[in-house]
Amino acid sequence: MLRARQKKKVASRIKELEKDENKLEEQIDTINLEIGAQKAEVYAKQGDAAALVDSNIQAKKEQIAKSLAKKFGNFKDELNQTEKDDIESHAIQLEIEKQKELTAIEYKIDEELNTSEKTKDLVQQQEDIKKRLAEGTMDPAEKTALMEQLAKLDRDLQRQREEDGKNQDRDLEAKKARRKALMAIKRMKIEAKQIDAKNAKEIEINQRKFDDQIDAMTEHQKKQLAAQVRGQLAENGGREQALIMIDQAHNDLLDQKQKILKSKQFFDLSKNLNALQDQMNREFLIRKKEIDFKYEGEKDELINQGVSEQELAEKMKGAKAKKAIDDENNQKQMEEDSKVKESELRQKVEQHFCEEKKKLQGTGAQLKRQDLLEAMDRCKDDPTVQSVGNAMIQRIDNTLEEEMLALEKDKDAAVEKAKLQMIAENDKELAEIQANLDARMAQEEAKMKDQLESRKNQILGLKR
Amino acid sequence: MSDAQIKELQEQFKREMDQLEKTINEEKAKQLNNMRQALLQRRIQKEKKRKQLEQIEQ
Repeated sequence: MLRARQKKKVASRIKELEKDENKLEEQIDTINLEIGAQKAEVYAKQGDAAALVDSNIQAKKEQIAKSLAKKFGNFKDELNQTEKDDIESHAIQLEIEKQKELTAIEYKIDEELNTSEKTKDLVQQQEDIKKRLAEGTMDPAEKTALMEQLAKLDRDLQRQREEDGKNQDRDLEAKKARRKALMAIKRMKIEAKQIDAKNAKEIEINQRKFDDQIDAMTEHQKKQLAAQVRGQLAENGGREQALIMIDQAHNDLLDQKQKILKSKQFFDLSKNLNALQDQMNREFLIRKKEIDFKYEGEKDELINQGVSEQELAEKMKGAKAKKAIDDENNQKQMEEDSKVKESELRQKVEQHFCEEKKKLQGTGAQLKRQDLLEAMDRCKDDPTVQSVGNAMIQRIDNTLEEEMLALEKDKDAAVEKAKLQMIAENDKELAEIQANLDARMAQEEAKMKDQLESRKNQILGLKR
Repeated sequence: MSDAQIKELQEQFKREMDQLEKTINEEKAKQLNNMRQALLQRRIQKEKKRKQLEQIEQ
């Protein structure tokens, strides 16, 4: 009997203790939730720097990030068959245009080859007189003289053209060689002109691939994040943690997109630099061929003049020396052009890259904002969610402007470096110029600071 | 004026002051940047002229 009573007492004590334990556990949970909410409030204001992400949320966001990296770890720049076909058909189109242009120019080349230097000179004189007559600023006597001169030139030109016609069949082999050389120069000029178009096509396709990948990444992450957010919002407490997850996941997404953008920009820059180098080399060769062509023409002309052997050797020497100078200038022009054009290209590319980075950053902030608002909309009755969400949105709006300014600053520095590369012979000189510029700017800044300070004191003094 | 009103007014002044400082700093940065660009441009032009003269002399 006594034993049974003792047993009952012990059982009832156990029950009481269990109840107490449950109560304490509930209290612990409530305290934990409160701590979580307070941490979330701090996180909302300070962001990632606060290192206050809950381990559970950290694990979930890592899962999303891993899935994104697994599927979109690198920029997928391999061309598919459609893109390969697109590039090929563009190349065919350019080839057709080249052939058309060459056919059109053939007639002109023939005409030029059959036109003597004398005829060209007469045409030039005729054009000069016509220009002067068109200006109409002369007295009547001068006008009459010019008209007479023009009529004489007309007669001379007609006679010379008849002469040229008779000479058409002379020096056929030499003409053939000159025609071939001129056609080769023309072909090279068209091909050089087409480098830009070919490059633009490849960059356009690459850009399309990049845009598609970015869209796919956004879509993939949206699905993954939505599932995790749904789960978190369905919990009884700590729903504000879903907002932290959104913030973290969007940061990861932006990082991944920036990595992809870097790869794409590297591709663009390499393509542009290669195309530029190719163009520079071709232009150099074109100029070289033109110099050779001119030299050969001069040589033929000297031989046809029928001067004495000694005089011919002397004149040939002169022509050769002139050609050597032209060749040297050609080389110098290529070196100078390379510097200037590369600098111009880098400046242009840096501007473009900055715009792309800003666009990515802006879109990232917009997507994050949108997801936060959606989550907040689903928890209208939860004051913690509303407060944390509003603080986060405030932070996004405040930091976006700063981030954009930082990007602009980076771009300005890169553009400046590209500009300086145009005049600096090497890295050491570049650093020296930049240091001089920095020193001069520091002086200007100090001067400006003094001016502002004295103006401020002036205004405050007046107000007092 | 109540304490709350005073506090609110102080906060409003602080916000206005911050905004003013921000605007001044932005304008300062803009002017300095323009100045830097002008200096750089002048240096580039000078260098170009020097090279042109060198070529003419040759």
